Amino acid sequence: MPVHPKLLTNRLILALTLLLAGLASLPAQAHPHAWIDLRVAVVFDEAGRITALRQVWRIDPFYSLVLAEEMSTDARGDTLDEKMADIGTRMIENLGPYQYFTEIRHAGRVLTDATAEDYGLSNRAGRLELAFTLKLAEPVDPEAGALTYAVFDPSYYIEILHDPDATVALEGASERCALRIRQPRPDPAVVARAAALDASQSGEPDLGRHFTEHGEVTCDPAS
Amino acid sequence: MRSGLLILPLLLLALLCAPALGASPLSGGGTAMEDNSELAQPGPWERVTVWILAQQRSLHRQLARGMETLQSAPTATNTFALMLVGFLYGVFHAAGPGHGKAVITTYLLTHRQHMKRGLVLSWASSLLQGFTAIALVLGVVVIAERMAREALGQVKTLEQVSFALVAAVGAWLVFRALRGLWRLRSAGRSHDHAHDHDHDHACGCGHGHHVTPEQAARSEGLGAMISTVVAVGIRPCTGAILVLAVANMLGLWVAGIAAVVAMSVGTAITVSILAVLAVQARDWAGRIAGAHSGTGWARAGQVAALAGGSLIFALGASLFMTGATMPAHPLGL
Repeated sequence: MPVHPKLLTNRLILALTLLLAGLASLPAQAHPHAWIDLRVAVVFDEAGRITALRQVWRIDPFYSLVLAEEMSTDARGDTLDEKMADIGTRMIENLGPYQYFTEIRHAGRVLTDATAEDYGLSNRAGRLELAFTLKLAEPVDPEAGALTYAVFDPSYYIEILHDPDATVALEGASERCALRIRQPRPDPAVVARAAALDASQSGEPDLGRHFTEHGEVTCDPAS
Repeated sequence: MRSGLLILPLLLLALLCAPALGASPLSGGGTAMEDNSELAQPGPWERVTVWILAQQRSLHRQLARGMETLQSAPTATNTFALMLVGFLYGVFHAAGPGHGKAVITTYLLTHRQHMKRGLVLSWASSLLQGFTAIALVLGVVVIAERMAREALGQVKTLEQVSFALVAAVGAWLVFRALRGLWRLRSAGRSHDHAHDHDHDHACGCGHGHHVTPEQAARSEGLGAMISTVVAVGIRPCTGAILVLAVANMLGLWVAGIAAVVAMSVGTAITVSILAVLAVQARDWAGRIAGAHSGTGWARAGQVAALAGGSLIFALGASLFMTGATMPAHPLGL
C-alpha cells in the first residue's frame, strides 16, 4: 500500500522531532571538566571480613596544575611537604560531608559513617595524588552478601573512573573472593526523569551517579 | 484544525524536552535511580551517549598530553596538533548538549527562522563563548595576575548572568507570542465582520493569509536572536578556561588561544548541525500547514512560540535558582 506523501512527511517530522528531543534530553552541561583515575584496594581482616577501601585518586594534569598553583600561595606551611599535607587535609575535610564521594553497599544496604584515615597528597610526574583509607564503621562479611562500591562526584564536574593501568586489589582476601567492575549505564530516559525532579526537593545533587562504575566484591561461602 | 494537528510534533517535542531543559548539572533526584545496570541490552541512544563520553574523555586526555608535548617542543607541528585535538574536543564536548544548545534548538523549533539565521545564531554564540573565555583569562590571570582558580570562580558568576539572560529572553518571547495571539484574535474578529473587504484596517493582519505573519515573525526575530547569542555566549566553557589557564602557566599563551578558537569552531559545527535540523523540522511543519489555512496556522505558530518561550524561561530560571544555591565543589579547595 503506497504511503500518502503527506503522511510520509508527517512521519519524517515526527522522527526528526524525536531525534532532536533525544539530543536535547541529555542533562544540561553533562560535561565533566576534570578527571580522576581511581585506584582501589579492598582491605580484608584475618576473619575474611572487609574493613576498608584504600583509595588513590590521580588527578588529571590540568586540574593538578590549577590546584598546585593555588597551593603555592594559599597553603599553610613552610616546606612543600607541609603545604601538600595541609591541602590534603583540607581536601579530606571538604570531602567528609560528601562521604568521600564513595557509596558503599553491603547486601544492598548502604553503609554510612565510613571515615578517612592515613590520608596524604603527593605529586607524581605533574599529577596530584590524593591517597586515603576509607575505614568502614564496622567490618562486613562478604560471604553474607556482596559488597559494592561506587566512587563518583555527584555534580559530575569531575569524572572518576578506575585507572585503566591498575587493577583493584583484594588485600588479604581468600581465593573464593572475586571482583567485578560494572560499566556505567547512563540510560537517557532515567537521567531525564531524575533531572525532572524539582531541584529543591531533592536533597543531594546526583548526576554523577549515572555515569559511575560499580565495583562488586563477592566471596563464595566456604564449603 | 489540520494546522493544529501538524503543530503537534513541535509541542510533543517541547514536552519531551521539558524535563531535560529544566535540568542542571546539580539538579536531579537522589533516589530516582537506584541501579540501571539491570537494563537489558544497551539501546542505540545509550550507546551513542557512552561513545560520545568516551571520545570526549580521550580527547580531554590528549589535550593535556598535547600541551605537555608542546611545552617540551614548541614547534608549529605540535601547535597544529594541539589545535586539531582542541577542535575535535569542541565537536564532542558540544555533542552532549549544554543549556546553550537546548536554548538554541528550542528557539529555532518554535520560532520560524531562515536557515542562514539559524547558522549565524549557532556560530555567533559558540564563537562568543570562546571569546568570553579568552577575555576572562586574559583579564583575571594575565592582566590582574590572579590565580587560575579565580578565573574558574568567575565562570560561575558569568553562568548566573547567562541563566538570568536566558530567562529574560524566554519571558520576552512569551510576551511577543501573547501579543501575536491577541493581534490574531482582533484580526480574526475584523475578518469575520468585514469579509476581507476592508483593507483600510491599520493592523493589516487580515490579508496575511499565507506569508505575511511568517515574514513578520522572521523579521521580528532579529532582536530575539541577538539576545539569545549574548545570553548563551556570555557563559564561557570551563574546559576552555582550564586550557587557557594551563597554557598561560606553561608559557604557551598563544597556543592556548589557538586551541580555544579551534575548540569554539568545533562547538559551532556541532551546534549548527542541531540548528539545521531544528530549522528543517520547523520548516516542514510550516510548509504543510501553510497550504491549509492562514489564521489557523498563524495561531498555531504563535502557540508554538509561546510554548518555546515558556520552556526557555523555565530553563533559565531553574538553572539560575540551582546555581544560586549550589555549594562550592569540595575539591575546589
